[in-house]
Amino acid sequence: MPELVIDRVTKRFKHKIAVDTVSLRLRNGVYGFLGANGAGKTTLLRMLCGVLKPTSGEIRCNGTEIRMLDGEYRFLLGYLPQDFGYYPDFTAKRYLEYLAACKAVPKDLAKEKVQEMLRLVGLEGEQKQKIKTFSGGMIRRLGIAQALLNDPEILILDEPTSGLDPKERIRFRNIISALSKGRIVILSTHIVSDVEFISDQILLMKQGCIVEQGTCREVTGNVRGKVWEYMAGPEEADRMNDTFAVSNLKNEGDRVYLRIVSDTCPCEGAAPAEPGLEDVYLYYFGTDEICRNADRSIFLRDMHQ
Amino acid sequence: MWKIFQEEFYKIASKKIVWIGLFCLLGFVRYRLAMVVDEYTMTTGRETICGKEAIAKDQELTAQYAGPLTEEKVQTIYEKYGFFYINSETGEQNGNYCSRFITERMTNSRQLEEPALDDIQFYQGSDWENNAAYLLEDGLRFDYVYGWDDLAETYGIMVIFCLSALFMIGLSSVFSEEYSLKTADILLTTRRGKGGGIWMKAAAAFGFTLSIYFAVTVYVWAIYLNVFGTQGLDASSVMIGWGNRWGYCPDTVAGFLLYQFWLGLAGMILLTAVVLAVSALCKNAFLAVVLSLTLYLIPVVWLKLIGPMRIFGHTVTKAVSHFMASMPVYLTMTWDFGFPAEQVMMHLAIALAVGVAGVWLGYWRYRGYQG
Repeated sequence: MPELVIDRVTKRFKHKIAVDTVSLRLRNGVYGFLGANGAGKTTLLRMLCGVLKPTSGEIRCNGTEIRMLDGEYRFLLGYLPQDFGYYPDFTAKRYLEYLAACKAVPKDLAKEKVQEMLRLVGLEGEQKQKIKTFSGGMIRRLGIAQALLNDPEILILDEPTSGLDPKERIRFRNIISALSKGRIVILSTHIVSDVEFISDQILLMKQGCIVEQGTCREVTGNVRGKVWEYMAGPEEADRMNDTFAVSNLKNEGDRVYLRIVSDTCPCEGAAPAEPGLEDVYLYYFGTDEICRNADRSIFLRDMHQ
Repeated sequence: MWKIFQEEFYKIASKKIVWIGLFCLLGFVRYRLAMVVDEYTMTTGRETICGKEAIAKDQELTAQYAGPLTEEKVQTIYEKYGFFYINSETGEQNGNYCSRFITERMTNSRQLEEPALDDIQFYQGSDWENNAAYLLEDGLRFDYVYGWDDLAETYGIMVIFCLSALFMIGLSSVFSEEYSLKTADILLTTRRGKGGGIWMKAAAAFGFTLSIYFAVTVYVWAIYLNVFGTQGLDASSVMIGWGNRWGYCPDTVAGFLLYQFWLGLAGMILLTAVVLAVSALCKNAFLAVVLSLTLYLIPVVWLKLIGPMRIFGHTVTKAVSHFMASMPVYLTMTWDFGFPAEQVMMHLAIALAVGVAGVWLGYWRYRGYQG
């Protein structure tokens, strides 16, 4: 079973530091990278895949630098990039068979494996269709299928559920959970529920650094006492929404239910609440990253006018 | 690996524009040959015959004089058929292949504009020595080579240049499309993606070039063989207008056509290597086509424009000119330059070095792709 060590890895693009001295040790399990757009998740994942070369630091697999392992390391790898590339004129089957050959899946096993993956992602019936006729969700599922083709010991999935509908997303989560035994699964997302349910370890990335790491319980434990619930009138809710990081907001009759993330009690009458991962996300990434408060304010005003 | 090769080949071969271009080219060559045959005339006695019948008659007639060309043979042809000429009033051609050969190669007809029959004379004195004497001195083997002359022009110039353009269009996408489709990210993380997979891409590109080049050659040669048969293939290459007597030139017409074929092949292989390098350097196929075309034409700009200015001094200009003459656009035309054999070999060696460097550059550039 592989062990990946990320040792003080930095990636600099001209004047921008995308990943800043990140050190991690990854063993079996599902690692969920959470972070806003531009946090450095994709850059880090591309370095883990060997596509990008770190500016400094090194990534080792079982003690050997991955560039030294070369094809041997890539043999262990399954990768779904954020922008999944495909050949529009290839059929799904042809595309997977081609990638199976690139991944050095033995010829006699390849056809069987392709069918298995197509079944797994629910594309068996569309295997002879050209990919250009596929919907966004189908393309994403094809991407997941190709990543799993070689039964990888290290599975790296960058925004795997973007474009999937809720049913497909649940199906995908179940697939990953089932596959996570005996391998390293790394997935990056900004969809909190994706990692909340299946990740053994959650890593929060901000401005190229890992700002928080731990199990879901540990990570949420860190913001215990910083999440508040409050029922407010519409105008007060509007005001509080502008002032605090609000992770949830719901109209309940004449009143508005607010879930506020704040180091201190936001107002008299606010009661402490059990934190969830979305609260943690909001705590670290601030109001402008997730909840689009301005939009909500407008929405609230419209509701009560 | 075979599966990867097949799919890489399919990716290149599935470009419709290449096939449309190719069929247009082959169609045009076929049409042009049909026109050549249709417009072919010869006179026998007072009768003018046209088309295939005229070709057959000319071949039959020329066969009587086939073999080493001597002064007596020339004299006999002249006495029997006179000079070949075009009636300026009717536009009719008068003569046959033999009379046309001696008229065009041994008389002043080409120096005169629309000459009347009476104005045409055998070269005299130094004109004879400079322009015609070698035809009798070098043991020239005479035969009917009209079709091969036409083939040398069609194949050696038009077909080769058109194929070069098609290969640039078809092969520019080999690496660049992987970038633009974002498939490079996936391929480069597969076990074979950074090694054998890249070599298979290059192999597919060369395979595509070779198979198309061979197929087109076979087609073009076949349609000419169908019309003109094999007569004249063992005649001296000097018989056809493109054969030159200064530089290296194979002895026979067949040798000359093969020489064209091999030079074309070398040029196409070099072009493929250069396009692969360009493709790996460009992030989209269109840019790669434009850059490939620009690189393809740089030797023309150098040899026609910059080189003659000699702004870089004699030695540099000469060295660069040799380099430019080794590039695809001129390498395929080497048969027209009268280069001695050593120079041809040197140009081929330069082409080989550039080709290897091109593939190597393409390999490393693609392998090191960083997004």
